[in-house]
Amino acid sequence: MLNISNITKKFKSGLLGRTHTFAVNNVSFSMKAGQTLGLVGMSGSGKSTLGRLALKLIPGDTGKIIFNGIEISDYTMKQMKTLRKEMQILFQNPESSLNPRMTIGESLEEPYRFHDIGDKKYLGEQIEEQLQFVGLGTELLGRRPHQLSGGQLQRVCIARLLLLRPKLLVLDEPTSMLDVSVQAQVIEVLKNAQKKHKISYLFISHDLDVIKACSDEIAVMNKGRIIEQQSAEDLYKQPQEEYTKQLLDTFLNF
Amino acid sequence: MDNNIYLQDVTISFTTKAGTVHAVNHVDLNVNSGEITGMIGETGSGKSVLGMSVLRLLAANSLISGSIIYKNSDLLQLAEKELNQIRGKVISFIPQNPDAAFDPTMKIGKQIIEGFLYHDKKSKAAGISHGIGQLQNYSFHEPQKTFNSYPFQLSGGMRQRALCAMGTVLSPKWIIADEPTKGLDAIIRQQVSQVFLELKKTANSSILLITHDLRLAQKICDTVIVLYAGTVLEQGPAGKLFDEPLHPYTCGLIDAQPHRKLLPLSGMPPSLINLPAGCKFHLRCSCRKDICCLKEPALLEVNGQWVRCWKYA
Repeated sequence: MLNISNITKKFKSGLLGRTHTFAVNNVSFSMKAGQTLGLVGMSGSGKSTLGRLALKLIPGDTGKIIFNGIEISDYTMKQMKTLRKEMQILFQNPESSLNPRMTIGESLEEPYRFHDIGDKKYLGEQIEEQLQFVGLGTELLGRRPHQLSGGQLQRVCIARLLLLRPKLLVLDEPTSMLDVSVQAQVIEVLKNAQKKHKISYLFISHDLDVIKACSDEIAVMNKGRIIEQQSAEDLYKQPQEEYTKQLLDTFLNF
Repeated sequence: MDNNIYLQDVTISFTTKAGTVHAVNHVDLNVNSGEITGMIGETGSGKSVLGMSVLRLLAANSLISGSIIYKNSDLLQLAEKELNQIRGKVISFIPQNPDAAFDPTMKIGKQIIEGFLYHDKKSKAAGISHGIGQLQNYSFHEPQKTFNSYPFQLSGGMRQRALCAMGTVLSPKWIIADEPTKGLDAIIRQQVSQVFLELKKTANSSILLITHDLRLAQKICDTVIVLYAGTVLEQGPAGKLFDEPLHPYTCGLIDAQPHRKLLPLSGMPPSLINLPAGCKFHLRCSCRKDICCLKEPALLEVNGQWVRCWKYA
């Protein structure tokens, strides 16, 4: 459903942009419908940049992105609008993902209105259904973000995404700010949503326990490149690359 | 005279518009010196509030009762001037969220040695060389450069390490660290945990580690305290507590970990404004009996662990 080949992104910095940093360097991968690809790596390895490139939230320098058979590499932002509701992202920090001045209800409605999907009555029903699905009640609709806990906010964000019926979701460290019990709740909701709507997830995390529990396949990133990609089970049993071995060892038996 | 910190019947509440928030309720604890003591529990269980109360760092709308005894003096009764001699020098606090803890307009180095110059009254040059040495201890490759950087020029992991460097600049006897590994990747997390083990061994520091990271707690702590709704539910040696947890809440936390069953605890933590009667955990507990809803159990010793549950009464 998503095919990415030879994508590269370099950032310029320093005086007159003379220093180049390859955040993502010649990366190719593909994703299957309804499955989860885990993306692990240290801070600064280019995971998040790759996630944003895959959704065309930032333009790549080179490379090809094919989403559901359509090549979108050269799509303008305007052209992307029609596809945008199918390709969404969930961020790490739910507190900064929601506008503090808007009520939860307003935040939930906004993307729906932007994409002009259905009338108000239908929207109301949909919001109720999705909130129930993520385990929240409609009494939250009139509240503002600061009145909710981190776990509740992250579930609001998930409900807001599900309203758009996305086919591809990039999950950028969705649970790293949450405590262990809330993390388990959020992962449960994400797994149920995937089963119900056949969504593909690109799950970015540096927590190797979380990645293992959530992914079908796992790609390991280091210095802007994917150095290894295997099924989740095999990666933990027989890591091929020395770097992966080190990473697993550091995390699991530090 | 020992160096332990004794908390006796500590109760902390906050007065807010919505009502009084009972963040910590009648906590009696001996935190042993020479050890790393872990404090675990969900968000809102009172971990950070309890940690901050030791140095009286809480907001003005807080009300603390009880006593916190260190070396025969009650930290809650000391005058501000006397307490300032303890803050940072004898007991230091490493706050969570390094993004907010540093002054964004001041260079890292200056912030790190601020406490050092205040307490030790040394020359600025001595402070700078001490600060750079301190950064070196926390595996900064270019300590000189980092010393002269602003917080925004460092990555999240570097800021976290710089914060630890600042908290330990005077080699305090006690370090209270609030979530020092939150959001860090595996390698930096390992570095930070190494630093704590090192401090315990070489500087003979005692550490109170407030954390969500159960793997970290299991790995480096000697003793672990489980807090829920501002109450101690279980306390014991780390190895034993994680292998044979007694309280249903501790079992739930351990099972919620992704490498265990990834099973969320049912329900939500109780409102701290209207605390439930009886055992604070009874609303979410699968082993609930009638008495749990009526009367709060006492903290009882069971095989060297302490647990507050009617199952063991």
